[in-house]
Amino acid sequence: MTPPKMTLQTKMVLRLALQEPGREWYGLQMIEATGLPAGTIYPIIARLESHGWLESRWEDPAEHEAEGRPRRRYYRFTPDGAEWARLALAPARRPGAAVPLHAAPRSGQPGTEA
Amino acid sequence: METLEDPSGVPIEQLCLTVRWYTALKGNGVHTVGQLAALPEPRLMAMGHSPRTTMGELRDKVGRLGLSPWDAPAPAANQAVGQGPGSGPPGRLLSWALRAAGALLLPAGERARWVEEWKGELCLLRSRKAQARFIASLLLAGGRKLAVTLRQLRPGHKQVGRR
Repeated sequence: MTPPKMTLQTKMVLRLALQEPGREWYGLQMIEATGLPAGTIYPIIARLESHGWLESRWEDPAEHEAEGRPRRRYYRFTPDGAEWARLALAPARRPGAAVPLHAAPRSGQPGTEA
Repeated sequence: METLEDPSGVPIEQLCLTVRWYTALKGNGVHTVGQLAALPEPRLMAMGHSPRTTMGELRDKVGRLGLSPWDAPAPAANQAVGQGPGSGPPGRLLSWALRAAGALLLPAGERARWVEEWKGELCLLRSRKAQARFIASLLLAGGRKLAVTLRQLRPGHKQVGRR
């Protein structure tokens, strides 16, 4: 599987999610936490999800019905996704650090801006 | 709170009601805010059938449109978690814009999911201005980018990446 395009904005989303890899986020939380516009966040989420880095679920009906609002869609890292994200961000955090060949994406070098 | 000049024609879909209330009202032929506001409280309570379908929710949502058809005991009592002051269902124009963004930009198979997700998040935004900014961002760039992304990731596309 090819890795997602690693734009600056994608890295911002990954860094945010890596702060608490097990946490579930909904889109608006990511928008507020990163300061990126909605029009940027959702394509990134879709791309990360389709590449298996993130997984998503609809909120349980009991939660949103009790609060009187539409359901949210929650996203969080897959177990592999968190590891791939760490590897993809590693060169940016530690200049010169090598990404292990077995884990490196086949194309679209991490750190390459779109 | 911004109010519409005449909200009676607003479809109840735009109130972001709970599923319980929505289905109860639709099942009883209530399709617009005007029809809802014309119903007496005892009749609505009879439609609710459940302790969860409280009048507080209807008072709150209809009240946000500037109507107060039923005696409201305490306006803040039903303030939902996650909805700050001034938050509420998007106006008619914003809801239309959201649906239009989805219909114009997204592949048919993905449209319902994203529009539902966006609508849910729109209800959490604190002001009409923030809601408008959210939709504008989707319309101006996001929806198109998302559409391109989703089409690229469709089964059968060269760069299929779905698990």
